[in-house]
Order: sequence, then structure tokens, then C-alpha cells
Amino acid sequence: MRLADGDRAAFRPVFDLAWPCVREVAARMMSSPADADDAAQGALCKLFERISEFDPERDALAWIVGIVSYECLTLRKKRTRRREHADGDEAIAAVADAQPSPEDQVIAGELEAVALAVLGTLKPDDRRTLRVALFGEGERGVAPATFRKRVERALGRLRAAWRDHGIG
Amino acid sequence: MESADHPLAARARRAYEAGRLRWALQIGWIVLALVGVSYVAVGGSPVSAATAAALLVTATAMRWRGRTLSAAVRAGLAAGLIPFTLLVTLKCGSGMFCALGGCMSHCARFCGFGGLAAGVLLATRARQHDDHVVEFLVGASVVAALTGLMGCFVGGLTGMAWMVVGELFATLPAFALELRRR
Repeated sequence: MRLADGDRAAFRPVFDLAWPCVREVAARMMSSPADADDAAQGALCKLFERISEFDPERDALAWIVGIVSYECLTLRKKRTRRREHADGDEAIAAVADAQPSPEDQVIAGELEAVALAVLGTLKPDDRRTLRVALFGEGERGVAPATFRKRVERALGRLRAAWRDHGIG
Repeated sequence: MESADHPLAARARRAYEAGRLRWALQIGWIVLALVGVSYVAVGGSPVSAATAAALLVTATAMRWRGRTLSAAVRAGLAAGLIPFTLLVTLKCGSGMFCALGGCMSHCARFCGFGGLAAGVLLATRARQHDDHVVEFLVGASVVAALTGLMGCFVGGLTGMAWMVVGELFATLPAFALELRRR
């Protein structure tokens, strides 16, 4: 009350009384000792900052506990937000990693061009057989055993064409 | 018990002084309201603006210092509102009041009466501050004078002077009594 009225001589006794109380409340509210210390220091400064507005009819201890609790809750929210933010950054980084790099895109483009060139050397029947076998485009039109033989032949020619292009 | 040289104590002390200044500056709203009322009622004036600035600085410094001076600001503002309200509401104009072989403008008369009433109020309140009567009276008189002058400027220099004289006339006996008691 004296300090709230501007009596600076009351500062030290109030500090010595308030600090252990503030530290105790913060330690109970925060899970980590480092966070408790941060919250206690912040709350103590807020307490002295607002002491001029203290209503002497209020219970001083309840007032102090109220300020410390608010500070602890604010710090906890801040920590949670920061963690969520960090998780969000990691997720963004993971998505960015999943995207092909420019180098990958160049390699994929070259392979596609070679594949088209190789496929172009195959007979139309072999191309159709491979499309049906690999991508399910169209009907087989023949018995399964016959189709299997055609697929094996088409793949054999494809391998040979790959080798001719220096791949495989 | 904590150490007297706790590193956090200096930080807490700075926070205390900053909070105290912020709290003291809240008096600015009252000063602003007085300026507004004065402007609406009797028009703007450099004297009124300068008085308002002086009142803001003085009242803020006194409230920041605290204790008796903080109480003096409250009492001074309340007392100063008497001449301020009188001058702002009565719209004294340029009429003259003559008595006892002399004449004075109505504004100067109202200022004198207002100052006198303010002084009586302060002298009465000063009794509550046993150990700091002089400190209280000086602080409150300054604040009351500045508050009253924001209204009394309409009476010109004469009106302002009469307000101060009226206030001093009422508070001087309280000063004298206190000095004799010491």
C-alpha cells in the first residue's frame, strides 16, 4: 500500500516479500524450470509496473497470484504457438522436399524423350501389347497365354532397343 | 529472505518507476477534458493552452513523486474547479462591478471569489496531512491555481491575479498556523 502510494522506501521490503511468492506460483504453473524462471521474472516486473494501480481494498496476495497466473498462461500460449509454428515450418520443408528438384526434372525429361524414342522403334503391335499390359489400355483380344507370350516378346524387343540407345 | 542486491531488483525498480510515470500521466485525460470544456465555453487561447501544459507537467510530476504530493493533485484539481466552473458557466462578459468606491470587471470579481473558495477548501483539507501540511498546501495551491487560471484567463491579467490573490488569502492563515506549530 505504501509503495502503491509512491513511498520508495517500501520497495525493498515489498520486493523481498513478493519475489519468493511469485517464484513459487510460477514454479507450480510451469512444467519447465527455465520457463518458470522466465514467467516469474516477467510477472515480477509487471507486478511492480502495475503496483500504482493497486486497490488497497483488494487482497494483495490474490492480486499477486492473479498477475503471475496471467503471465504464466501467456508464456505457455506463446510457447505453444512457437512450437506449432516450428511444426508448420517443418511440414512446409517436407512438402518442399517432396517436390522434384530442377535437376530431377531435367533427368526425367531426358528419360521420357529416350523412352519415346525407344518406343518409336517398336512395331505397332508390340506398342499396343505393352500399353494393354502395363497401363490397361484396350482389350487383350487373345487368350491369356498367347498374350503373355506377346508381352514377353515385346519386352524383349524393348530391352534390346534400350540397349541400342546405350541404356540398361 | 532475498539478497539485498538481487539482480532482478534493479529491473523491478525500473518497471516500478515506468509504471508510476504511466499512471501519473493518466491525469492528462482530466487536463484534456478541462481544455475541451474551456475551448467550447470561452474559446481557445494561447494562455489557456500554456496553462494546460503547465498543469499537465506539474500534476504528472507530483503524482509520479507520490504520497502527499499525489493527494495534493487531487485536492488541487477539485479546488481549482471552483473558479474554473464559475468563469466558464457564468459568462461574465465585459460588465463592471462597483463597490466601496472602486470598480472591477465581473470576471475579475468571480475569479477572486473562486480563488477564495478554492483556498478555503485547501486549507480545510490540509488538516488531514498532519506531518506534511506545507508540502500539501504548496502542491495543491499550485495545481488549484493552474486549474482555475484555465477558466480565469477570460478575465485577463486582472482576473488571473485576483484568483491567485483570493487563493493565497485563504491559504495563508493555514501556512502561518503550521509554521507557528513547528
